[in-house]
Amino acid sequence: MSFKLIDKEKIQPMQIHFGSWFDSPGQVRDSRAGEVTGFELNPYVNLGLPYKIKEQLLFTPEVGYIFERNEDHIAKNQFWLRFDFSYLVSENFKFSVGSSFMTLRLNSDGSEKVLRNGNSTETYFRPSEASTAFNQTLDFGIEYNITQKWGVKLQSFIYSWPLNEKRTTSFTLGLIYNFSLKEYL
Amino acid sequence: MNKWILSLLFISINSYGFTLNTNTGSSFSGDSVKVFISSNSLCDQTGMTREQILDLAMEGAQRLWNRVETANIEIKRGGILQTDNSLFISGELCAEDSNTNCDPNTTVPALGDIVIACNDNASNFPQTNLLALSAPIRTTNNEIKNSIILINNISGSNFSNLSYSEVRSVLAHEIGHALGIGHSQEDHALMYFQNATTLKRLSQDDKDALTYLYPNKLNDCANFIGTIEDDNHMSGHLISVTYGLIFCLLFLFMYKKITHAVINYRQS
Repeated sequence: MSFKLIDKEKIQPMQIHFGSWFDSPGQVRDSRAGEVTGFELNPYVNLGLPYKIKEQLLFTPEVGYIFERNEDHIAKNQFWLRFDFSYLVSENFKFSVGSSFMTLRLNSDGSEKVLRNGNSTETYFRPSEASTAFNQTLDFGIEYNITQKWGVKLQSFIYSWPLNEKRTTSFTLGLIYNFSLKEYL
Repeated sequence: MNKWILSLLFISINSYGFTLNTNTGSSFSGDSVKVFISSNSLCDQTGMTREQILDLAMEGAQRLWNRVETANIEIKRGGILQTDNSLFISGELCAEDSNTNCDPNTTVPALGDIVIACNDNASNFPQTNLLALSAPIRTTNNEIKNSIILINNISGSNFSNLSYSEVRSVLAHEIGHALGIGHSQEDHALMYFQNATTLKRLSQDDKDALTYLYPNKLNDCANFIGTIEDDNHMSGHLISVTYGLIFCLLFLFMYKKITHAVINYRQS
């Protein structure tokens, strides 16, 4: 008796995405006048391995990382593990639905900082240990292949879905490079 | 094109710089904190009633702190705290792990998570422009047991000149301290030392500070998507639970399929 859990023939060329993560645009305060954040650039990289389930349907496990954001001793690292189902609307155009396990890690060096407090100053403290938050997001994406190797992808990540006051949406916009592992092995 | 891609990899214009109240990073345990106002607070110099102050505190907390998607803490209304302890209304606030020169208020009864009181002690408010102050007053092993928020109730206090939206911001700021968050150097943050006239959203600094102290965890299947809402939002609650259960079933189905496949593979 033989059984194939994964059919190697159905494994598609690997995908590497790189571009920018846009953290909750329009949903975070960004100035004293009350203006909100726009589309600020946060570089990310994502690796995916599509697997053809049916003729027009792909399943793609992915891992992603937003490059460390570090300012004033606070470091912020964000990773994700995604499971994505893509439907090939046409030869070049894909629509995808999936979910990501988001990991947000915040840490600092435990140093002190003197800041204004009322009419004088006071010593406050930066974190001395790391803290990690986990979220699961609902994701929708569209992908367009410009050439056989290159494409673009817009992906949304909906936190706290659905009907929740905490719901926010972040995005990635990036280039995709398709490469076959067989070419390198 | 290649240069543009390369430069994209190194650009990030966000800034972060939150701080904490204590060097140990103390926070409340559990996923909810109740806010009370002491029954003996007259609040006669604030231009508001106790109930109005508590209402505005809760509005601020619900609009701002309760909406951080990466944090797992919900601030709930506790109500009027029945007490005749004079420390709430006239005592000096002495916090543990703080820079104050007095002894911590260990005699303040441990009745509520966060207690608001209208206070007229001149040591707390040497100037009329000091609107309110707050700090955890009892911590054990990095866990905040109680926090207190004192509102300037001295005659001539600037608190009485504030608009409702300003009072909401001041109380939301003080709740931030009560939760363990320190000041931010970002002038647009809720936790900046100066009060903002209007505040509809938190800054990234505020969100990161709350996330650091109260990180969201994927505890169980029903909590897969965000946080389950309170009783006023039952539809969200039900859909979240349903969605969580679907994920659980899907996981169990996949687990069963994979286990079956592995057994078959071994047998072959």
